[in-house]
Amino acid sequence: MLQRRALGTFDWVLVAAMAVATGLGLLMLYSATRLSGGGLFQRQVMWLAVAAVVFVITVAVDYRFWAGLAVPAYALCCGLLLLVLISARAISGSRSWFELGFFNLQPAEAAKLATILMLARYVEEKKGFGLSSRSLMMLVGIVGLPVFLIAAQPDLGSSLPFLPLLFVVVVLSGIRWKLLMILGLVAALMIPMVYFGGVLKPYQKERVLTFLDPLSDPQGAGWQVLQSRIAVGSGGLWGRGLLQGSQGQLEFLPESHTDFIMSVMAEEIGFAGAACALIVYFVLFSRIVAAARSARDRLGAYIAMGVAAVLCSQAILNIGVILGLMPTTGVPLPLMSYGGSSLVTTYAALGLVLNVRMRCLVN
Amino acid sequence: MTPDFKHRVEYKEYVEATQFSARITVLSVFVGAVFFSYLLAFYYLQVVEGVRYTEMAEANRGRQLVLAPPRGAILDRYSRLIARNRPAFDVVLDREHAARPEEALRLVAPALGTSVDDLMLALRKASVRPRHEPLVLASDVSLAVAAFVEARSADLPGISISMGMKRSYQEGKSGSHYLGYVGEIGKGMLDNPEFEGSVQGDIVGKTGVERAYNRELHGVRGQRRVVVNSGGRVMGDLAGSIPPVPGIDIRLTINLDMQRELDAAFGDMVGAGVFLDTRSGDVLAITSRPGYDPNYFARRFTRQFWKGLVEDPLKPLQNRAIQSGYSPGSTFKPVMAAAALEEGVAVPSTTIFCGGSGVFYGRRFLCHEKSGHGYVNMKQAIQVSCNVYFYTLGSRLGIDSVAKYAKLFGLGRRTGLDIANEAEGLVPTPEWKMKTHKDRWYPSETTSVSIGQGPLLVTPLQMAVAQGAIAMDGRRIRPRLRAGGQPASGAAEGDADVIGSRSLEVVRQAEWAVVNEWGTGTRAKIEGRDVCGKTGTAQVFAGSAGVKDEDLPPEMRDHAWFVGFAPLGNPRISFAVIVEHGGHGGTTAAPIVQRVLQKFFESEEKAPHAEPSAGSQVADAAAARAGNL
Repeated sequence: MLQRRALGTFDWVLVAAMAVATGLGLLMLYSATRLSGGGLFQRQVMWLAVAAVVFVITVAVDYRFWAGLAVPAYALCCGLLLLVLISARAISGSRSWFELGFFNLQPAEAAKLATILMLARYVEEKKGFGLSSRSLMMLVGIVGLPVFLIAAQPDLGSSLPFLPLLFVVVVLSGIRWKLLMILGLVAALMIPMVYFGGVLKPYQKERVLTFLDPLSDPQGAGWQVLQSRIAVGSGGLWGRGLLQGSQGQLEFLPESHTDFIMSVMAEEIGFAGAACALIVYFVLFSRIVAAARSARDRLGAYIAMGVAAVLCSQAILNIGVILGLMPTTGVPLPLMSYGGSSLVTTYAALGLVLNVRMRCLVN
Repeated sequence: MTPDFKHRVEYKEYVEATQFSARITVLSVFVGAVFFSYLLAFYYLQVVEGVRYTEMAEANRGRQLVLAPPRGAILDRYSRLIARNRPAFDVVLDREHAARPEEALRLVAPALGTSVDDLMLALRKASVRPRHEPLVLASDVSLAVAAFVEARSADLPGISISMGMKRSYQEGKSGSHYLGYVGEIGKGMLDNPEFEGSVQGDIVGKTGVERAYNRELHGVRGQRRVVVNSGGRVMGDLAGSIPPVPGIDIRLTINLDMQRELDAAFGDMVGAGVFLDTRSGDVLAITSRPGYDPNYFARRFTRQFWKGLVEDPLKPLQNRAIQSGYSPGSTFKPVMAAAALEEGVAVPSTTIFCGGSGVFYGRRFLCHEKSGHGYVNMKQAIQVSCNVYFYTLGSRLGIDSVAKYAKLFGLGRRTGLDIANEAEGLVPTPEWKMKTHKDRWYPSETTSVSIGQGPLLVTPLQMAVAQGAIAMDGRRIRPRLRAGGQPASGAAEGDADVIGSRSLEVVRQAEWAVVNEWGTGTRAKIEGRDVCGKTGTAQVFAGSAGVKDEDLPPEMRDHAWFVGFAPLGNPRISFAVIVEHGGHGGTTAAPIVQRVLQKFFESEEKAPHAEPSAGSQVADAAAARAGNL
């Protein structure tokens, strides 16, 4: 199936950026989990092997084939989300995992990929230009169903990246700028309604408050925000050295191996490391966008931009929290945070992007 | 393939129609702007503000742990151990390494003399504490229990023995008052300048020598600088730790042989006794009965233990030797004689007739001898303790002179002993009476004071000092419990040595006669030692005069005094002993004195030139302080 012409357009830069990000993530993961033990590092390496296999498979088969599976995949994911909501045991107050013996499955991750494919399929099949209000409703519906199911778990962090996805698809589908602005205004007006209208849980409100003033409760809810800022700040230009960051090593940083892995990096390899990571993510983003631009059809372009929206928004949301610029939301950092479901999904997503890029000249 | 080609043409049109490329560019610029602002934010936090956050990170991980210095030992004058530190064993449970503690607790509970339920309750209560903090299951267990736990450690996962230091008083109840005890510093004590530099959690001396020399005994706290994790668990050491400076050993003036003999001689009797070196002021033995075992204070004592001490009608916590004011009774007569001689209102040969009573200021005052002593001179008057003779001296002297000499002998003022809470006693004067009773002084009150009654109150320590002054030609010494250094005068400036030596010779002769001729103190006699003394009874019950003690219930019997010095020719020791409700001093107090003086003379013979050398005993003491004994 792989054609020589396809190999010629293989995006080695994208793969290199992936490898650098994954490598940095593993290094930091090693540092963050070294003392607490539990074999998390080994498990992540094992997951990486799984992700690599998934990646190769995703790349090998034409993305049109994968897009053909969009409807059943989407249906399966929504079904799993529903099931997890009903049956799964709550982990730290949230039902988002399947416990499958030796590992736990988080269907919300796979749902992101399924939703991207679903959206791309819809836009592909919808003939004509422009965005009718009917198809806008359709797009909102496709994204809305999994968002609703995930947010009900409740897992705000996993549901958040769906919104930029919807936004990007809507923008690219040719929504008129004027309408977009009106929608944006409505969304802005809804923020206070969401905050005061009882949509947010009390602990989520607390996160917002402590984000605004972390020192108001440095021992309690402001702890994470403050400790992350200390970890980042104390890294300085070159960092405190690998395995030398006191904030991460001595467990002052909570969730240092998942949502706050970037804090560990900033602490141990400093501004140099953080800047490096930012650049890698931006390169990754640029290559995905390039894949979208060069796509041979709507399907490919929307798949690539969908992946860009999800991965990029995750990175932005995660690093924003690390820097103390956003309230804690629980969004993992793609390719770096500990977590098998996230890693495998991200690799599959990037595999699709590579797939689109490779097959831009195929006819 | 045509359909695909068509498809691609349609896609191109679509891309153009929807300004696809432009929209991607707008989104990309937005993302680029966010990434760039993040880069600036990292730069600001890490490079611009980096130093500040580094300090905060250091403050997070650094902790100073107090290293308590080993407390100095307390030694007797011959460097024999009185108080030391002993190893104390706690049975602790490491909750982090005890997966299923119930089994282990079930095994260990009987050995600790408690129930599994109680231990499980303690475990549940501890759940709010950080898990790395060990839970103390039992503190200060016996060596046998510690050995049991160590031996069964394989069956007791997570349970181990933790060793610490506890204060140990070798002599138990003997010497409880002068030694004092230690305990965790109280909240109020932290503000006390005496405990300047102490911090919460310090073990400090609360009373007695432990308190008076706390600063030296305590030593200097060290500091261990450590790295802790967010749970407070110590992960490693930082540079800059300071080792503690051990407290220094304090050598006391106490002669343990005499001290033990004094407490043994008291037996179950209540009272106090003081033995002083008349040349140096060294307190050779001092006791207050009943005592308490200061070792209890070193342990976690119970509420009942404390309640028992506080509510005991015999007040075991009171240091009677320095805190209790007693009527001196007849033991005041030598002071009266000295005053009369010095003021010139009498000479040794002054003879007064005692007919069993005398009328002074319109009131009849009785002598204890109803039939009267007949004509008595000064020596005889002291020897037979004739009241009428001293009533007469009192009326000749007047209260101001009596008070003046009482004070010169150290009564009515603190002796300056180097432990806290000494009582002043009371030497009454007209000014005192006007101030406290809003009434003038009646001359007949002087008559009562003349025989050591009335408002006059003295402590046993003051009486021992006064007898020392009588023995040493009027030189009043400042008593001390810490050995070494120059002896200090107990007299205030300007009033030292006003009693002429010749004027006191008759008093000393009389006191010698009390013990060695026919008198009331013959039970204190030691052959060849020329013990001198004076008995006294302090009335407890106003109607007891003239009633035989044996006929009174014990709590109404008089307090029995015996004071004095020895030997006559070359006085080296003075003493005062009071036995509460002891009846007559000659029968209860004098034998105690005799036993202690025997020990004194034995010690002198063993070490004729008194002061002990350092040598092996000091090494023993150092080892004991380190807890090796």
